[in-house]
Amino acid sequence: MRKLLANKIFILILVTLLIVAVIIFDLIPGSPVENITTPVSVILDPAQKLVQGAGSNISNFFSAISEGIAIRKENSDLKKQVAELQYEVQQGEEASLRWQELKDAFFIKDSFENYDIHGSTILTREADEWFSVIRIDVGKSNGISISDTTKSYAVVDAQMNLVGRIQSTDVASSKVLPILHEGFTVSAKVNTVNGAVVIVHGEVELKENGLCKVDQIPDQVFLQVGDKLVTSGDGGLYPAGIPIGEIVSVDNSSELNRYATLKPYVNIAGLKDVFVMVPKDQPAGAATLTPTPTATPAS
Amino acid sequence: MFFSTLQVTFPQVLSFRGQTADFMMVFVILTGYLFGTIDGAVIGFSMGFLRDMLSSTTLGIGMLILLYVGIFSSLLFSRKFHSRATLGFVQVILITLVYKVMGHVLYYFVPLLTGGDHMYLSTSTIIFNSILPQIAINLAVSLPMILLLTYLGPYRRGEKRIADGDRAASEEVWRIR
Repeated sequence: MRKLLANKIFILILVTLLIVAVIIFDLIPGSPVENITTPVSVILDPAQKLVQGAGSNISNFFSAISEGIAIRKENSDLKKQVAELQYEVQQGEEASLRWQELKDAFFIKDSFENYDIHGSTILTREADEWFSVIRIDVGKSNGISISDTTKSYAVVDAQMNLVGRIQSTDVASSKVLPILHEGFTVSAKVNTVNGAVVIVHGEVELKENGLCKVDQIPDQVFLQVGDKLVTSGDGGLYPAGIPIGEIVSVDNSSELNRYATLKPYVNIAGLKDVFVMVPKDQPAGAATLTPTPTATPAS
Repeated sequence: MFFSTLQVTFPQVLSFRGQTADFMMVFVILTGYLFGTIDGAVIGFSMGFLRDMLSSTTLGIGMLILLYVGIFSSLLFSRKFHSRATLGFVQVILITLVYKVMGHVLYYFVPLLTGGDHMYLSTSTIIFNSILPQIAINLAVSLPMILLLTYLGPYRRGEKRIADGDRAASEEVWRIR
């Protein structure tokens, strides 16, 4: 035994088998292997935030120098705009009160009112084209955990556009599978009354151009460039009505393999903060949408 | 830890034609090449763990890849060329090339085996937008890293080369007789 342990090839085989076991166990949802990362995460996250903060400060410093003159001019323009906006705010407050009265009178439900929204900051992004998961700074300690009953959570940006879904969590952080990732799939519908239900998923070929593939288009349905897609709510993983993106091309050349490409509204490279949608006690997917929120491209 | 954090926190800062500088892999390659098998394997394993933790869907894939990268880089060239720092660049080119080619082969064939329709990148896109930019950006970051490891590394400069004789003997166990 001692001879075996002194043999480097034996140790290498042992380590390889151990890693393969970790990979297999990690593929099982809710596996305790996920907790392996927790101790490192606790140490790494503050260090990572420090690096992120330092980088932002350096970037801000240089921006401040280069943009100083432009900021002064912008400031004087903004003062004028503030005066105009204050007037609009007053009108908006009045409209808001009326909306609340109407809402109570007609029992209108807000979009996603059955969901708690957890704000979070993006900690890390892709390491290369194949290791391309995003990490955010909310985890089990914030009540976000993956189990047999809760397979995932939807992640959206500030405009409520779909960013991706939570893939795994540890105590202080979670991994988000972004919409462009080849492992990402969502059931979507064309954002019209009785719009067709299709499947949107990431594709290696399209990821580079920031696009997704749309397929499983029902017979007799012909998608058009410019069609807006939202989550359909089928499957219960994502609430219905989250804006996904817009069709940019359609290929109907093969009857058996009709597909389209979609440009997501979300600009993942420019994101700093995202929001996790956690269902309240009511069953997931029970959000009533009246009306479907307006899809807005991320700036 | 610093390199892994840097790579995944500001990927857009050090990127070329859409490819991010792979600090973690370059660090493992150079550690293995300059400091030997054990160092390469340990750093490869640790970097792989961080890579998986930070940006992989499955824990273990990065660990396995970088462990073997660390070992492979320690065996390639090191005996005949006595770990000359300049040949570290050749290591980076070769291992990045192998990594990218194997990655593309896997991403092409695995979905085919599991069935379903599948789109994949054209050969020219793979070469000009993936492999070559990745090699170029990895080479760019390997220069400061070689200097860093040579002059500020864990061993005094030349210390590992003096021990080359011992290392050659110790690496005999890797040989299949």
